[in-house]
Amino acid sequence: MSLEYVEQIAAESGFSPDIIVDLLTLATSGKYNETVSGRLIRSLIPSTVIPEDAIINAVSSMCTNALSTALQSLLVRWLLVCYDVLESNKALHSLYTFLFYFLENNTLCPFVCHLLYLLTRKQDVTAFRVRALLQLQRKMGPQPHLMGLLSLCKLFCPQMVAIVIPKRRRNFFKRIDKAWLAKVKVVQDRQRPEAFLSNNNDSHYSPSDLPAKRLKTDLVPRLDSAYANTSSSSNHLPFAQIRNFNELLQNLDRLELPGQMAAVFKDRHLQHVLMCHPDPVVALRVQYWLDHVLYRDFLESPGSRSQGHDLLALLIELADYLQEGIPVCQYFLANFLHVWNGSDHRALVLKLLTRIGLQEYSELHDSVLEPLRKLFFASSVYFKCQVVVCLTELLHNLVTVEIQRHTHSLAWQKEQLLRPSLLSNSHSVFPEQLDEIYVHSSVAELIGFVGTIASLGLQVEHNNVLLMHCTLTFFEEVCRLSQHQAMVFLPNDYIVYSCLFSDCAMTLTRMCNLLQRYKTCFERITKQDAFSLSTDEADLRKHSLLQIQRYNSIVLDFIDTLWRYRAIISKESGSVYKLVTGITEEKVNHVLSIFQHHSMLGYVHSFLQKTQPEGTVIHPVALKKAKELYLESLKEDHLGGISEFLASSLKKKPNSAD
Amino acid sequence: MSLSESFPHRRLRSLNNSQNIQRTSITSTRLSIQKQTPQNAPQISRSKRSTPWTGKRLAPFQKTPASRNLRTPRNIVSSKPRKKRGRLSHDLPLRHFELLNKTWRLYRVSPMFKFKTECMKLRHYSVHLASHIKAEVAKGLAVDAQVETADAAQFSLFSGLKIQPDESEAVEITLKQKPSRGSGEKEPRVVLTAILCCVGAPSEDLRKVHSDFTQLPLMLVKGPVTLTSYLTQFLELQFDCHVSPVVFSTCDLSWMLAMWAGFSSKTGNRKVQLSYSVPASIQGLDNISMEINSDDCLRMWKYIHDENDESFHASEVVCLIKSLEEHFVHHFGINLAAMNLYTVGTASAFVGAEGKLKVFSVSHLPQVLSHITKLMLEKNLTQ
Repeated sequence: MSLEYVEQIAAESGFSPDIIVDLLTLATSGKYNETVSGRLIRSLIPSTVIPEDAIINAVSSMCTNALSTALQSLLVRWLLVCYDVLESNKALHSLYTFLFYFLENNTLCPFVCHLLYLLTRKQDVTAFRVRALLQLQRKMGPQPHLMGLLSLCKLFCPQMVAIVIPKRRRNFFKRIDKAWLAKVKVVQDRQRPEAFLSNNNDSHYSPSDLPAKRLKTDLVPRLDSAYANTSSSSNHLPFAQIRNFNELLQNLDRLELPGQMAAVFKDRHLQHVLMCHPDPVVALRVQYWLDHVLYRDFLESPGSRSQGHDLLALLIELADYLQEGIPVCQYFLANFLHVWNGSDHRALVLKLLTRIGLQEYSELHDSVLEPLRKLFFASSVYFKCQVVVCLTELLHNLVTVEIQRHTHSLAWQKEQLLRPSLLSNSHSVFPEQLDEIYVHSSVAELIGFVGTIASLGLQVEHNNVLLMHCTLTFFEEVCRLSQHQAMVFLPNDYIVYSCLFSDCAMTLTRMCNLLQRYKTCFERITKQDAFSLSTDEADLRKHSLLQIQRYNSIVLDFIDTLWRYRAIISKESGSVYKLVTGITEEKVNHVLSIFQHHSMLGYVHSFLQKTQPEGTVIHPVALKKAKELYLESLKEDHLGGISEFLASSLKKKPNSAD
Repeated sequence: MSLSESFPHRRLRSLNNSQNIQRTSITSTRLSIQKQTPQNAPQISRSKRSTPWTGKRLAPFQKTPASRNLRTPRNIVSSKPRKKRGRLSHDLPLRHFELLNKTWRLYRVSPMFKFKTECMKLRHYSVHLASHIKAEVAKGLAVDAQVETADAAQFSLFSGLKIQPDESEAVEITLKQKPSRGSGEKEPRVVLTAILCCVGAPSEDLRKVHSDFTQLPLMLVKGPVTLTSYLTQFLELQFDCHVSPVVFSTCDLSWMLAMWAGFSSKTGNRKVQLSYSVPASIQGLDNISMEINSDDCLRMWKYIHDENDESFHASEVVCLIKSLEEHFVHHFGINLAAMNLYTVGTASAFVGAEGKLKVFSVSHLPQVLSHITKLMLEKNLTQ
């Protein structure tokens, strides 16, 4: 049997108990040289457990003096590595005295100390052993491993150990066999996956794991139960005893909630409970706590606490988990945005904003949009982009989640007035008194607001490409959301036409694409039955239908400019070119078409270079003969928006429209 | 004042005073270099009506109402106490005197979950608090030999503080320590007194709180820091509330000065005293304090404030402070408006920015506590 083969098997599946005993006998027999024996010991990885026989064999062979010190220490290390998978440590414990003897050996001492640390029980601490240890310490100086063992002795029998042991928890024993340990773990996990799962599923942290200092400054309270409020019946199970999700499910009806509900921020199981608890008081407890802490950290003495960042992160995490904004956050933002400097915790504050619930537009405007607008115009272009992205997310959340929640909660609220015994509101975790509001017009006004600040921002920033990208993303979102609502909003003229005359092909193609999408939106709402809508929605629908005319004129302008060389021709229906006079029209018209458009020139050049025979002078005029091929090639350059828009908007085939 | 606009919206309070945003970050750190208090503090002898002034510092964006009502809702306490002086001891419970002339540290407490003021419950809490303190003391025993500790705790009702029927009765918490054997004392010594109270809160605020919670937003504490921290820890754990030390802003303090300056000065010869902290950039000067005869202050206030008007207005507060500061500029050339006010002493009470309170006059105690209670409630976001 080759050694490599043994090592390979060990790494893959480990060995059964019998084979481990055999291999161990082989390794400690002294037949082989030290390297081979060492490698054999290193590959003693159990597939299940290590039998007692093997342990006894190992220790007895250590005592024979036949083995070198290196091999002895390797054996002790093997015991340490496999300590968790020993069949039982009874056998090892009965050899305690023998192991203690090995402390005298300087090489073995650290490992033996660690092993003894794991093995020592109260009855093992005797006066002579403590004396021996102290003697050893006097001889070798204060070694951490000896200190560790002594601290354990002091814990069991303080009267015997008179030395001072540092209070601070320390890592007494160095783990030097991390790779070996990892190997054992891999094999074990492979053999017993269920054991692995049950070990790692435990999300609780035990209080003793955290250093004491951390606990004092920790923002979120721990899961302790309150003793003054505990009910006397033994039926209740304190929440801190819940270890995993299964236990939570089994004991759901007899749970005793922790004394401080704010612990919910750090405990996933408690978040489950918060989600489904029928009593609204549970959520209220969290809210009152948050109310105070947010005020103290951000409004009373802003910047004095470094924990604000963590708190906001936790809030976002919880809101994401609940898929619902927390009302207190909304009030908090309404206060905080007015004093916010726009840079502290910016990403988090904006993220929190996206979770704001539905409210009347006038409220939303005064509490959120107005302060945001001021910061928007006073800050860098990057901030502007962040704000637009944030408002895009907010709009998405409002339309896809909040409108529905609001409608359901309102219906529930009405029903509860009639039947007070009704079960709790299943649509919202946080009970709030709701008013009837015009949800759709609220959303419509929000869209109008974003359109306005975005176009102004673009003017201030000279059509910054990044900001343009964010703005276009916003309107793409608006288009997408019109599936949920009977309304369509066109971007204002500034945005539309700066895309047309932009020097960036990305904005041009995306605007074309957007216009194409608007077409489907308009088609959808014209087909919609107006009688099935609420008054609020019907108004908006009417308003949207009025925009069709404007849409048509925009499309006409685009087609005329990009395709028909008719950008500047005095005409009735177009809207932007009416004032322009006295320019040689034909030249300008050509320059604005997609064949010579300044944003497209690069693509035109590369297209012609690919298609024209070498040596010919390249000029866009050559495109006239290959229009369709050119439009196809645009798709390859991810500019398909233009060609698709043209294809869908032109009644005649593109090649005949000259 | 743009603050005086009323906002009709229900849920998110609109805070329109946006020009003031930049100024709210004014709270700078306090110096601890040697003190040089000016020797001759100015004595105001003449008061004049000042021109209106938009004091951004004194009325920042926060929820400071445009006006406040001076009188408590049931008019139990008269605003003119000198006429009723003889009857005071009949009107006001004796226990009020226990609160006088002590420096209290103020804490803000969020609504307390399942806190009941029944006798049985209070006894129950007392036992738990005592054991909690013992456990906490045992935890940190090795750190300090002379550790603050308490052997007994007592929760009891402190009657007579509440003004409105729907408020809950104030609760007193005392911690006592048995005398050490050698000292010869027999009575246990009170080491900490704390009073949880709610005085004259607007009833709509009280109604908003769920019935499982008890609203006692203000806690006055007198005792060592370690014991106070054990107590707040206990309250937080037991009643799922949050306790935080109170910090008063310059704006809060100016309001107090204006509201209490109008109280009679007959309660002793105390002067109105203002302390300003000097910005860190000025070396060798820690604070500037100004003393004014309370009679002068009262006269000045009467010029500014219409006596028949029951409510105080932000503009009046600004006017008062502004004229005091102008006076100082006139005599010393120092612009106090650029500094932070950090203590205010009037004839009836003394308040420090870091949440210290000392009340001198028993007749004004309810008004003082009521104002601070309202301030505490105004700090709630959900209000």
